[in-house]
Amino acid sequence: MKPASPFLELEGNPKVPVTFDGDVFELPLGANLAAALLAAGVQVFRHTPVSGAPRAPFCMMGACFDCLVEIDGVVRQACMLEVTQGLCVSRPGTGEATDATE
Amino acid sequence: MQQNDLIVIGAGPAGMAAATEATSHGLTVTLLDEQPRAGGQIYRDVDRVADKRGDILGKDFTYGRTLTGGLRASGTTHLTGAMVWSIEDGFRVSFTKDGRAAQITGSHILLATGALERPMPVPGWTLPGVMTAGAGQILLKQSGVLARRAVLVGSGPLLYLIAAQMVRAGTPPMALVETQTRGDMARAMRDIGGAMRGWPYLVKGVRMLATIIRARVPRYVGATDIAIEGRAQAEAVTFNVAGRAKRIACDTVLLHHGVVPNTQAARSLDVPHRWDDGQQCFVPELDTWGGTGVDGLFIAGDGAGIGGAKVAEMAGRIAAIRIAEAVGRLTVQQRDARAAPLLRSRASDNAIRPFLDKAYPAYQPALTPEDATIVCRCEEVTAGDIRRYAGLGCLGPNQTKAFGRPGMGPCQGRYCGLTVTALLAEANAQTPEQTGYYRIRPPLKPVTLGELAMMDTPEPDAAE
Amino acid sequence: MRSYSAFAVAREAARYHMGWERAWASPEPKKKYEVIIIGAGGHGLATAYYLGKNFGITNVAVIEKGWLGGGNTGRNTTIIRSNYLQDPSAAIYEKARSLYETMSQDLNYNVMFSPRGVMMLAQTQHEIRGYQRTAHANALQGVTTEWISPGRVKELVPIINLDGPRYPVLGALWQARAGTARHDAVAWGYARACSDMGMHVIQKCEVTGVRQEGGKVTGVTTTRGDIGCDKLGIVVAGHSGHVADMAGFRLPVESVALQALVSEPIKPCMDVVVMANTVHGYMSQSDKGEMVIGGGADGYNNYTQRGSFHHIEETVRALVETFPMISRLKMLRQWGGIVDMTGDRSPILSKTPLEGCFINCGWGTGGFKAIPGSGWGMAELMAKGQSPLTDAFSLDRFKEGRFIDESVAAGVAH
Repeated sequence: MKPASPFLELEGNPKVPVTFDGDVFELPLGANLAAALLAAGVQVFRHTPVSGAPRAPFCMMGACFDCLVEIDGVVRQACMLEVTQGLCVSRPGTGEATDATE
Repeated sequence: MQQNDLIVIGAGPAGMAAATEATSHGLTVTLLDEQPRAGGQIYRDVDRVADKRGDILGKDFTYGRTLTGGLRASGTTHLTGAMVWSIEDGFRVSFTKDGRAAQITGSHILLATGALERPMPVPGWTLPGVMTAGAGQILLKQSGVLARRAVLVGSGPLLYLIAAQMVRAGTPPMALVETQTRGDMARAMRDIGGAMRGWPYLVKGVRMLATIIRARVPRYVGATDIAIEGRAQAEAVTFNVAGRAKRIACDTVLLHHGVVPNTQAARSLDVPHRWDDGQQCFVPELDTWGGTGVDGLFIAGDGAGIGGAKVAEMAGRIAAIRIAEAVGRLTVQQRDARAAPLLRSRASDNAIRPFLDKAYPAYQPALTPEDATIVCRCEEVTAGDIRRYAGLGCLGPNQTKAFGRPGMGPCQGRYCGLTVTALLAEANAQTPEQTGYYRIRPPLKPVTLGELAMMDTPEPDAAE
Repeated sequence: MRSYSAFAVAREAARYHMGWERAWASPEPKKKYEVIIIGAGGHGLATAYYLGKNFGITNVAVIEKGWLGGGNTGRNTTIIRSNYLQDPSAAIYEKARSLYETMSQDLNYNVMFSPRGVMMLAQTQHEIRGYQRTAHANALQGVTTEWISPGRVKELVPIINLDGPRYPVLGALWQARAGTARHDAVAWGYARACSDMGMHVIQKCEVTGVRQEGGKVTGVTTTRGDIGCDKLGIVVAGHSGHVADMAGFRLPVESVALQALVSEPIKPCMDVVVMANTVHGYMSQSDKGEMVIGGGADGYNNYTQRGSFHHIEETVRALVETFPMISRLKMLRQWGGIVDMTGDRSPILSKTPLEGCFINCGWGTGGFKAIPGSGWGMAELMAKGQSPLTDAFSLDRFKEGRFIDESVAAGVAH
């Protein structure tokens, strides 16, 4: 289910399923990942490693690192990525990034 | 691997114009940019969205296609999605593209890394739903995503621009909470002479304001005591205006009180910087051409000091002409002849800056925030922490890292550096210049160890 | 000086830690001191501290160009161990390690000493022989180390890959009571204790010359004026050659940048320190959760406090083979420290040709672990003219050929 979003999307590109923290969202193919997640109603992208405070995109230009998400075990900036088919995104839990059994 | 005559970092107006100009003189140029498509932040994704949203974003935005088109036709090697994380003397540039690290070499570097929004640490600024005004504009430009219930907070032309764009997009902001005062405007009038030389900017400003006023967007001028309320998400902006407390409930808060040069790359190469009192930030020390104290290293665009897109474009071309001369493609006479008109129009486009700097000054309480406000977003260090370190004997920004880690998170000080300098300067009764700034080292942005381990290195390395 | 206690911490926590006073004073330099130490890093401050504590010499100034602990003390990977091969080395490093165990109590300052254990991986046949020999030598010296099997290595470090094609793990030299400490706190703790004894720790004061009369040191010239002294200690690590030059003698050291980096923080996954000397790398996990990785020295001499990536790349490439999980970790920060290395990879603690002037340098890549032992010995040397801890490390050894070869135990410094 798509939650109510504080953001409005002006256009409707073809959508593809993207998993974020277990939930499946239909996001516009090729769109900026951070923008698409915001438009889809995702409000909290991560929790800080220091106090666990919630964070979401702040600068949208790759400078602030508040939109960090985890993809394929690597913590990356959502605002610097584009939506691709079947993308699997999660909130960076400190440590889930690395699987000691590799 | 072929040695480049010029490596340009950043595909905004300065970078695109420089690469285009340099290749026109026969230089071998590689342009590295983090974004998937050229444009920088000001012309973000202009090729994809100019047709879709040109009416909302305006002619100043769609103009960017002239630059992207010029770049495409120029023969520049444009590496998109390339995140530069190290520049070593000589020059060897390390970057990551498509999950792989690689290096290229060049005899000249032009840093066109643009600006960052001036950090605006007010209570609650780390909450989800709070963004820079630039971020709000990028959402609109690139993705056609608009905040339904947004309040714009701060001061400056960009605040009016995004408000006007939101109006045109049919979702006006709920309010403009502006921090400049009528007194600031009165002081700025002393520079009206310069402003008149830049009259097209004034006309644009008046038009933007007219759009905002016609849409009946409430404006609160001279706001103080700004804070953002909310638990897990921004819920309201509170402030004082003319002695009255106000509260506006909203979902999104867009902050802006000016932009400052992004000096990370220049600092990592030990380019000397000086404090600019007018713009309240550090700027690199440059010659007319954008040349730094480091041989072969040039800076153009807002990274050299805030001037805006047109100034950036001209500065990019001016630097490219100088570099073309340095590699022997132009004589000194040719260089000077070609650069003269550009230098003149750059000066005229810069003329409005003193007026703007005074009319829309930074919001003072966000330069040295109150104790409880977070200053370093990454490591969650507050202004009170920084003052306490000063009280314990901390002498400079680099030493604060040992006390409490500000500037040591992934953003590497981009959004706390100026605030930490200001707080220490105040506490130690020094100037920002005396206090200094973080020492910036590579990696300019975090890089995975796997990428580092698998790096493609240029040929000269193999001979070592 | 206020004493730190659990009560004080609780009280200050309740009032936002605004009541802590400065831990050290920032005095104006006097005209003259009995002893001046150049360099307020760990070694310089420890020297001053033990001059006061062990010999009652408190008319001391520690002069620092930057800020205290801002050089290699604040730049190292905080490893503390004493598994060296030669007797004089084992003596001074083991003295240091044992002083670290009680340092927090001694200084009334928490230096967060963590005796988590340090292992040195043997990844070649050559290293197996070298480390087994070290283990025997340590047994004779009274330093507790043991040779452990690959299976035991895997037990201690589950994230390790024993079967790398280029760098298999064939065993390790294990020192269980070695570990790490908080580097800044070591400098701060000593500075606070020195200040408490009435010594002057003078920051942002650069020495520009060494004054002498009739072959005897009389003081220094600095950016804050001339300061006199009877005895001078030069304790400036990577800049030793430079300051020795001012004092009119030369040193058999070369300065190189040693590199280190840290990753983003992750959940606890490795609770020991692992050194892989064949590949010039060592790694531990900080309290914050960052993986702290030390790399090799640059291949050429220089004074830049930053690394070069084509060099550190080699180290990381090899470490990724041994620790596959780290390949997806982001490197957040990387830096260099200037270390001064001698030909035999052992330090110099010595009188100099200039009477009254002493030098403490040449710690190469291993200075942090030695701080308290080095300060203890250097203080004795300066107070009494000789010390059993430092006698073997005199400058004369290079003239007389009495080298103390530690190129294996020193780890990456070759």
